[in-house]
Amino acid sequence: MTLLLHGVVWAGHPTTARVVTWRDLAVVVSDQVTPTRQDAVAHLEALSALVAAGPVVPLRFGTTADGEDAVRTDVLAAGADRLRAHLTRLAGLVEVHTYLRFDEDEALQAVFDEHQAAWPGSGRHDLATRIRLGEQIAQHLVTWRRARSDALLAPVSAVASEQVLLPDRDATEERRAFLIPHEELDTVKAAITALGQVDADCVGPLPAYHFLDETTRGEAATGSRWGW
Amino acid sequence: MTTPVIPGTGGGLAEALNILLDKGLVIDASIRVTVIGIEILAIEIKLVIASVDTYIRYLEAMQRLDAQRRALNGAVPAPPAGQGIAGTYGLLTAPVPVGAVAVAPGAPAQVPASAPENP
Repeated sequence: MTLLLHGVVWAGHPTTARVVTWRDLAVVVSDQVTPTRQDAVAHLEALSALVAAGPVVPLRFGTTADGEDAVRTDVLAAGADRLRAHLTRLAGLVEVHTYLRFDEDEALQAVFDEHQAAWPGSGRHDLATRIRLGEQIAQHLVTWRRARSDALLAPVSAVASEQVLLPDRDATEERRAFLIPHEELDTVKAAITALGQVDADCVGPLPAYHFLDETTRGEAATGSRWGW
Repeated sequence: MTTPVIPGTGGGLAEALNILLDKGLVIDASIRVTVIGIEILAIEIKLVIASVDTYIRYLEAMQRLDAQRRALNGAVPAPPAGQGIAGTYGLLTAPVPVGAVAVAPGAPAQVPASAPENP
């Protein structure tokens, strides 16, 4: 029977979810094999609930296996060393996302104040030039927002062992993922709640999606390559 | 159970989901363990939307701020200090209206009598 696989935990993890166990490792599984978006949310909720009680290695959403035997041999036995290394390293750590949404008018004004001496004038430009200038403004907004975020998120960075920048959605929204000790969650929550001058959210605890291997790290800040 | 979403979240987990859907450990190639393509799940991933429209909007906002600054500095826009090679500035492509040319006090207008008033 086909199973949907959610995440890998230690065999002794106190979860009430269905697990397939092999030696000291276990995979949290379910029967749902045609997952929908609601199932994806449920998948993330279930994994997020697990991290409070022990490390979780999240598997790519939509991972399926042909029965429990395949889970034991092809997932757990085949990758045991790698999985144990992840679980050991992630003990006590959780991922938290922070989203800082800056006011666009304020951000544009700040960028304008900083760069107005170099502003090329408001004459008529052809479309390609307009797009290029607009892109440069977006780059300046990112630089401004990143510096502001560094300052605002300092209390979070202080308790985090690692952090990565999440993909941009908007030039005025800073999205980061932090790896923090689980017991610092309240500290992070308080720090984000205290940010009065910016629309700030955080989501956590999450499984350490962004801190599973070296290749996902170092999506580091790339400073502005642009200038007017 | 600890609630996974900290109060005050906008999209909460749904927001995080868009970022995390294509993350997570991938099991090494196996005939019996596979990953269903996200496109099959008909899940919409809304990421990087750096559109031309946004760029144009930023540019227009900058131009409004520039116009405000010029208005504050006086009705007649004074050229900024020269930039770059040969003290040029900007990329002005539109001709400067005759009426907007600042004339130094005391200097007689250099408009020839034969010049048309309204070209």
